[in-house]
Amino acid sequence: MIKTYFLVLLIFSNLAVGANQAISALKNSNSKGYSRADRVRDFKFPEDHGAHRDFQTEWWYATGNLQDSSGAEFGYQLTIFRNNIDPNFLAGNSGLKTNQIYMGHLAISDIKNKEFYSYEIFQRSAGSLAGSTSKETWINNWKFNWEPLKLYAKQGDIVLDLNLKAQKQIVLQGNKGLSQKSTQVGNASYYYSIPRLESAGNIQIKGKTYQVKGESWIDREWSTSSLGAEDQGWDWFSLQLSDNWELMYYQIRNKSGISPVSLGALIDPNSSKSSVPLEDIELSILERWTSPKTKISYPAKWRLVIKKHDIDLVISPLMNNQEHQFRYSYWEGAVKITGTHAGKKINGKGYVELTGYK
Amino acid sequence: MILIKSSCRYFTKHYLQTVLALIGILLGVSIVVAIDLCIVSSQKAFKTSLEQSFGKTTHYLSASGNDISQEIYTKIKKEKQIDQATPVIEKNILIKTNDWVRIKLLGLDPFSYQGFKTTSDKGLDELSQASLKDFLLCDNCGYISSKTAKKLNIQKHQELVFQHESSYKKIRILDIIDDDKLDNLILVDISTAQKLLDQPNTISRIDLIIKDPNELGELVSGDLELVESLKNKKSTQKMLSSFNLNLYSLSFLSLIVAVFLIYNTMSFSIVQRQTIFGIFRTLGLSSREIFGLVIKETLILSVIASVIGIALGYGLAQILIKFISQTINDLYFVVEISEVKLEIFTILKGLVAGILSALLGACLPAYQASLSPAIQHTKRSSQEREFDNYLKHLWKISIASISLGFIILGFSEDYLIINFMALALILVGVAILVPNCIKIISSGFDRVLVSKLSPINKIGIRSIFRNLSRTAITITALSMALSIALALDITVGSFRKTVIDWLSATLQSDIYISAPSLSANKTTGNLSEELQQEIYKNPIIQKSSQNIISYRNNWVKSNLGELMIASIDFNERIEKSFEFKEKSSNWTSDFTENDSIIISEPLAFRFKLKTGDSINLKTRYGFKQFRVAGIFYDYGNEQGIIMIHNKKYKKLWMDKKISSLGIMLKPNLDKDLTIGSIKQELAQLNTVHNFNYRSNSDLKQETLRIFDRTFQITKALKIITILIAFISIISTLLAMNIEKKKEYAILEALGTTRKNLAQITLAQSLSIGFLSAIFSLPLGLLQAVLLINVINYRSFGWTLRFHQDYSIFIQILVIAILASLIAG
Repeated sequence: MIKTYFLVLLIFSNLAVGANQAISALKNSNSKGYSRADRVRDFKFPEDHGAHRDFQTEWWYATGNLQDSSGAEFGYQLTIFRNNIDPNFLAGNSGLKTNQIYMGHLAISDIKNKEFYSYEIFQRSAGSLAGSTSKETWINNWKFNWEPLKLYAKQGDIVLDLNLKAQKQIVLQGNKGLSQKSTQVGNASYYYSIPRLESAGNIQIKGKTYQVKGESWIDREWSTSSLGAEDQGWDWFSLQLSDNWELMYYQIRNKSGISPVSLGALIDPNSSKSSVPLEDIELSILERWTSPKTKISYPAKWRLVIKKHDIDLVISPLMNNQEHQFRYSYWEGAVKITGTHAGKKINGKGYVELTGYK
Repeated sequence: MILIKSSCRYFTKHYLQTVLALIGILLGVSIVVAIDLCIVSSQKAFKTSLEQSFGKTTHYLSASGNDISQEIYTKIKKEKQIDQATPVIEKNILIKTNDWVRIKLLGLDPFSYQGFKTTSDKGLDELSQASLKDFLLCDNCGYISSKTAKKLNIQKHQELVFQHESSYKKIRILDIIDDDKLDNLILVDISTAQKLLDQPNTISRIDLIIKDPNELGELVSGDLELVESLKNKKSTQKMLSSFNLNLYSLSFLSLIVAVFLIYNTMSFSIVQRQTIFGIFRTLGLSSREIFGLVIKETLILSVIASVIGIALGYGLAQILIKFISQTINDLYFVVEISEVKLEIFTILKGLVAGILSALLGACLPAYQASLSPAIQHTKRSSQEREFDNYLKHLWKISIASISLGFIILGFSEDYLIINFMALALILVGVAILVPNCIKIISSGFDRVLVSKLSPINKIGIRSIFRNLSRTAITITALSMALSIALALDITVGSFRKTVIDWLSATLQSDIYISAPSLSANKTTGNLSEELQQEIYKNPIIQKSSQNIISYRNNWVKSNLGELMIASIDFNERIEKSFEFKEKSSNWTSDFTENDSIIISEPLAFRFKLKTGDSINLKTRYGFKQFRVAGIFYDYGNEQGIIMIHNKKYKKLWMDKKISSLGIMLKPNLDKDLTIGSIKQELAQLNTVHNFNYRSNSDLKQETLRIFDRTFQITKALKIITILIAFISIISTLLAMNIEKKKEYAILEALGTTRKNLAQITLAQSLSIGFLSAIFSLPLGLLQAVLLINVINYRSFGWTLRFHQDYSIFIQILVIAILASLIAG
């Protein structure tokens, strides 16, 4: 889930504007003074649910697919990002001065009505306005609560209020939780996921409440790392298959194709993970969609084949317009899956993130 | 084609008349356009200035001037889950340059401020592209606008020294931003403001964009007040709209005069072409076609004139805007109107006004031209007979118009624009009485005056009465114009006299000291305690003052919305300074001891309050009922004001701040000398503290200066209106003389010299001038009465004492006669 990494850094280092400036900001980002993910470490819970303030960036990421009793489908995304904008900052005589800045992205995809609601907020981690402990992470009223696991966010036209119950154990991504972003030492993140959570609660859209049920995926990641000079953007897939397997895959796109650090992870029903290196994955784009607002053209249907694991999937968005139109526009949305796994027909749902497209 | 050719020939041959007609329309249009442009520009500037202070804010939460805990903001975001809320710190600081410059330190939160940004908000966009990190984390970094940088003579990365309360600190200029909205302030992050102002956990206020004030629930309690900024905007806009309407009405009046002028020109042009029209009719042209021809001519003339008028109006607006913006600054709020832009809508308005008024003026002449049978066109006398017929009907129309006007006035108290329309109806009704009146007085006039004159003068003057179809219109137009000038003079004069009397009664102290304020007539700032101490302790002030009266102005919540309250130290001299419209018999004891207040006339007018009524005001202990013990005259605040005894105010609002002080000198001192030396002391104090100080006479002079500046625009409009009327005399005389060419030729043949002929013209023009002046007097008086007692009262709720200076009448007579002399 390198994705966020771009977003966070660039927005914070330069509340700036277009994607190009953003990515160049990432490439130049200065990691001096921050802690780095340069070795395998032991994860401790619930402590590691809280913030790691010495690292430059960090996020709490939840996505999921939900349904109400009539079968109407909804996708959701709740993300809280943290950024340390100056590792050498010393707190002074002001209640609101801090180097820890939080950002939140919230979205609900109303598939039946083809409406996409998305919001971005910022807050400083001071005066209890935003922050993170081992029990909860919050920005304004948006909240990740760990014990019991709950998500809440109200903004604009929507409210998200879900109780989550993990169906799988915590999965440490990469090498025991150390996820390499480039060949350079330290250019890595600490990364864990809860790939399947039973989710139930309410969502509200323009005053109308829907009782919903479904499945979510949580990602946690923190790092101090930067992009290579060649990198252009990334695609990220979190797929929950109907046979209780999950597949995570991210690829970093650069001028010459796909970066070799791109990696997949296959999680079996017992929560055990096998890494899927890039060379085992065949991903082809079947369709594209152009955003009428930003004119950005995104891939909009894929075929993903992993011969080694007998996986052949067709992934398509539940609806095309799931584009976040913030200062930095990107596509992140609910997808459905059809295909075969281990010789059997399967289906599934998931989330895909696409950034750096023009 | 023949018709058009004949028209063209006529208008080019009689180019002087054509030009005069054009001027009439174009002057009318230019005033309409100029005023409209000024109003549009001032409203735009007003909007910008409101946006600068409020942005998209609908409400703000504050503790009446005191700082509030930042925890409240956290609660609003986390518990109340309000999306659009942003903390603000706003404090005045003194910057040390060569002198001490007062400037605003504005602390914003760039994260939550995003939603409050308006499209024209360049400042924060630039900010986001500059280094946000420095802005957020640097302890003393801020941005300023390029204008302010110039004013403070500072460059990027340099430091400014400022004083806040008693400490000196430095601000480093992170960047200079080219955005006028940031003028006169230093923009810093909210946390930096906390640090610089030593208020680590408090903020000044929280700006909100909310639909329902109840969203904040129990948070709004105790000190905290939720203030509707949108409502402020509305009430300010409402108050500006009365002002604008008054301006519009002035431009409308000049347009009415222009209509008369067009009527005049067009009917002359028709008279002169009687033979041609007669021939056209005998050749078989229908009356409709003749009517159409006249209307077409008018259309073409009016379009040409309107276009020139719009251009002229644009030029005129550049001059007028200076007066208007000064007035708005004096009376309402500080606003800089940087430019007057020609708007499509204004162009359309000008065109429509020009064409419609021209058509209105041409309707009757065109109808006349088309109606009469061919043969009669050749007879001049038939036209006079027709006019005589009209006059009989005119009585009825006039009475109907006047009655309708008064009926509307009686019923439409609340709608100013309808009041104006009613006024116009009355005015037009009275104006069209003029021709009939001329007819009535003509015989008397003849017997008393004319019969005693020489034959030459007789010819001149009698021709006026014999050609009533021409002259009556001119006299009406001129008397209308003069009456407007007269009415304005009387109204402004009455207003001025009332204000002078009021000032003399009200200003009881000898020296006034007040907190600096953005607007000339509203002081809600505070004098710092240090300053108060220094004033009270100052030996010269101590020695020479009998009393120091303190005033506090503040906004309070009430059942009638937010109202301005003024608390005052009460003593016998102050007691005498109030002049009451009505009061309870024991008002002084009620005011001092009981829960009574007194209110100003505009406030009573706004809410239809009387002595004995009650107002609920929100005190520190919740809402409390106050009885109105009296309604006093006040011309300082058109929104109205509540007066309360200082003792009660301090107790109930726990507010010890002071907005201004009045020093009353001991009775037997040399006033000028003492005031001089106190002023010297205050000048000394003013180098450290920022405040205004004026002596009683300074204040009076200043008020009258502002007053006169406010009404300068009426002078400009008066001149233009008179100009239009003046042109109408010239065009009438010209037409009459052209018409009478044959008669003059006969007179000449009979031995009348050219000098005699000139005398005839002079006699004509003098009679027109004299008659106009006579008729303008009742017309003007009536207008003045209506303006003072109806329009002014219903716009502002001010009772003005009718004051007429007889010299105004003489002035009007002189203007009329001078104008007619020049025209003759």
